[in-house]
Amino acid sequence: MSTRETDVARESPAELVDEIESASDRFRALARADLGITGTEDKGSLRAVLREENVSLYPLAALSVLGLVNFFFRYGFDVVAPDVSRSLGIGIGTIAAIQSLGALCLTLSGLPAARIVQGKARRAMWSILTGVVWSVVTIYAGFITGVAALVMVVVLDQTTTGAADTFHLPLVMDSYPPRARMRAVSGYLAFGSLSLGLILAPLLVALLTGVFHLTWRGVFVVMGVISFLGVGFALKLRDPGFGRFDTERVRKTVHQEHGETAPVGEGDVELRFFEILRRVLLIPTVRRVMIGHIALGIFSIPLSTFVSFFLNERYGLGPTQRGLFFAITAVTGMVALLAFAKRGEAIYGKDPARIISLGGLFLAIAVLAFGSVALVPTLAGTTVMFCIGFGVQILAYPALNVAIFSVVDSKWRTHLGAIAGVFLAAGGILGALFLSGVARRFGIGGALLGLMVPGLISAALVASAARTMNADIDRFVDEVVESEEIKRITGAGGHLPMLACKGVDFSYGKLQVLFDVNFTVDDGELVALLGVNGAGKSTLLKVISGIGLPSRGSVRFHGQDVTYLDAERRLRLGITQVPGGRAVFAPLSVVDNLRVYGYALDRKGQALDEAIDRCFEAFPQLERRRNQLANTLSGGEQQMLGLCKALILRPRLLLIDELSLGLAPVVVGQLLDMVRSINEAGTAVVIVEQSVNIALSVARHAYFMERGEIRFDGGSDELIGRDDLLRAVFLEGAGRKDAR
Amino acid sequence: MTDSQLVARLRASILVLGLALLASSCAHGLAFTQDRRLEITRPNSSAKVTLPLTVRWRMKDFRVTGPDGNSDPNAGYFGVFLDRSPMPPGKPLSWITRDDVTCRRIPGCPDESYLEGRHVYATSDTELVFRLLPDLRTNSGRETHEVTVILLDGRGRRIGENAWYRTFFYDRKESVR
Repeated sequence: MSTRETDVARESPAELVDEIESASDRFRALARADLGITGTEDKGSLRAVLREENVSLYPLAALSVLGLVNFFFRYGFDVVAPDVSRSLGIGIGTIAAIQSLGALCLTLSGLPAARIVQGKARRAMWSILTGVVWSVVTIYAGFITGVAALVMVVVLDQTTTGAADTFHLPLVMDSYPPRARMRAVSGYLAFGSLSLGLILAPLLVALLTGVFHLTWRGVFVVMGVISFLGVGFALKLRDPGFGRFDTERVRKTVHQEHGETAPVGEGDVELRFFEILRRVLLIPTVRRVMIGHIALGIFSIPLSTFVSFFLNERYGLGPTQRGLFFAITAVTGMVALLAFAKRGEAIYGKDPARIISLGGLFLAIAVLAFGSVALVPTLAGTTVMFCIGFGVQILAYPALNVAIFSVVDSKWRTHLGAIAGVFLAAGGILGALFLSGVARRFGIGGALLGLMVPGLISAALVASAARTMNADIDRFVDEVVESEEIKRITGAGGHLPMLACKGVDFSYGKLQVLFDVNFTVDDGELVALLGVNGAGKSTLLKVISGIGLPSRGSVRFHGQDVTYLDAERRLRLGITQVPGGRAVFAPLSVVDNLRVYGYALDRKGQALDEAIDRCFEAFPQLERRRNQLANTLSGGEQQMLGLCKALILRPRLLLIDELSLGLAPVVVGQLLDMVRSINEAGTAVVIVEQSVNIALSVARHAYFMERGEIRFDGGSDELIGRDDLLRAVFLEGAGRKDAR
Repeated sequence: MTDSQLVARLRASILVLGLALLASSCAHGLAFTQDRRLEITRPNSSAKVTLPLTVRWRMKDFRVTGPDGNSDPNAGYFGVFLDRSPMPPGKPLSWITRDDVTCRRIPGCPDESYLEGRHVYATSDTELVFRLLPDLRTNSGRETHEVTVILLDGRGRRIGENAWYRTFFYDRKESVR
């Protein structure tokens, strides 16, 4: 056994928890440096960084080409849709409906795409596969003869496009080190769909129709062949794995600082799809930016449509001329992206919060520029203002993407990308509904001016995320460091507490009720959690059992992070709660209540019958009422029935809320005996009580909570001597209403 | 299945798909290049027009025979559609009544006035005069209209999928003044 292993094995669980906490503080600066946040603006040339990290430009080129060729169909279809309508005799209304269906697929397909790559980093393979699908689909589009085929083409193309959009940016993030990410993301946006696509697609369509005299069918076939060539170029794209340059690097740093070479121990419990979505949205920076995305959607999605109508109505520009107009603005965007990338990288490295503020500022400037388009009387002036708007707006994309992707685990970035798409689209739908009304009343120019309102709101919301950005990066770092420390400790034979809540904050809406709560329970312990009414005791139990999710902090069960697991999964891990009051299903009979408990863990048949017999053995009076409805039982009997949950599920940790509330002393005594015997059988128990005497009569370890904070953590006998704390409980018991 | 087998199957699938597409394109007479036999000469593209509006076109390599009952793909007459899509290839003008139960019950419907009421015109001339344009009810009064010309065979069915169109502007407010 090594010295480190001996040391760890000797340390108490509480000491190990302290050690983990101090490790987070110790490694934070180092970990931030791993994430490219060095506090300085010196980032080095892109070539030097890539050479140093042994990374090539190929992934960026491959993803850009995929993004580019994918854009061809989208653009091509928009331009030739009227020709398709005339050729096939499909009404414009039908075409518009098909396009709406496609937009829906585009928006929603990111979610299943994120689910597909959740367990294994296969984003590159799926990016290539989607590329093959849309190449085939684009060629096939040249051969369609009816509505059904058109629907299939549009749905398939938009579904694969939505999926690819979800994969690409996380792949760029994982393919390049943090010191080069802003430049890599800017490069992807400049040479992919957002800029170069907007420049090349109109030129290609103009070339094919104007010079080679192809019909829409010919255009699709040629575009499909080009798309195939693009996919062929990207065939060597490989997935670098999740978090190669961030999460994994921070992990490596932790081990290096401890003089170790290889990670040890098991990983955390993996979150499921919806748990990840919920987790991601609980990150304050992400939440603010996502709300900003709704407003951004209201502003940006209808913008291109309204501008098209505006250009058509005021200056009589046809589709080709409008395509050229957008191509000119895209050139500005491309130049802006490439010019700003290095500066953005430097700003992010010095202070990530500034890049978010800057993103908000860019959006605000863009909104003002776009709005002024309605007031400019000449086409030249309109073009200039639109170039300024587009050139500045596009800068917000790398800034915001790098920022929000930096505060989430690398495995969850595809999920975040998908969520962002959904929020943006939701805003787009709202915007279309709202602004079409404005356009009817005040004209297209009025609608363009109307867009400024959601645009400026979006800019303000995005900029407000700067307040939480650094704290969220620290939290991300702490989570990784904590996870690695725990792996190290368990790998070295250290004994961690069964349950460790660390730095937990919890809010009901805007009302925060838990503040930096640290709470641990060891194997087989019986812990009393005391406090006045409203101190946050029941809320803490909810956070432990998964009924409530904290806004900050972690909950670890046997070292595994369960903070954001569903309550149902925690039940399977061995955490069971008997809620306060009447913990029964009122309209069910006693025996049906017991069966329901068993079904929670798929226990059926003989095993469940035996468990029910055990309950009736422990509480004979329940057997006498086995077919009686639960709501007709006395309060004490209902609590007994609630406790039977523990006898059936046999949890490793039992959380009991307000066991004695409103019960006669003799019944309470009976219940406490049962709690003791459950505990003696090996189940750790947390008992929440307002009655100090009852709690301290069974528990040797006690916590005292007041106003959402832990005020005492120690032995029960020690707590009895703390009149300053207990006085409040006794006074409360005497009728004082001093709840917080 | 080995990688090489997978690649071989993929290639075979693409080949089959390609052949199927080629076969379908031949069967349906799909047009991959623009048919330049017809050229709309008036109004100019994106022109600002006034009423009455004359739409004029030039046709070559097509015999204008009118509705003579033949189905020669190189002879027939013209279908003109104002601000609406034409019928699918191979369908007659009456296709536009497919959802009009009342018309389908009346013998002789659709007649010329029915079609004109829906901005559909059949002509053997190479020009058509519009005395009115559909009111698109824009705020500014500036309206974008589009006229589409297709070829009909002697039985009144659409020939191929080619369509020629022209977009033009009409300022309703200015015209009223």
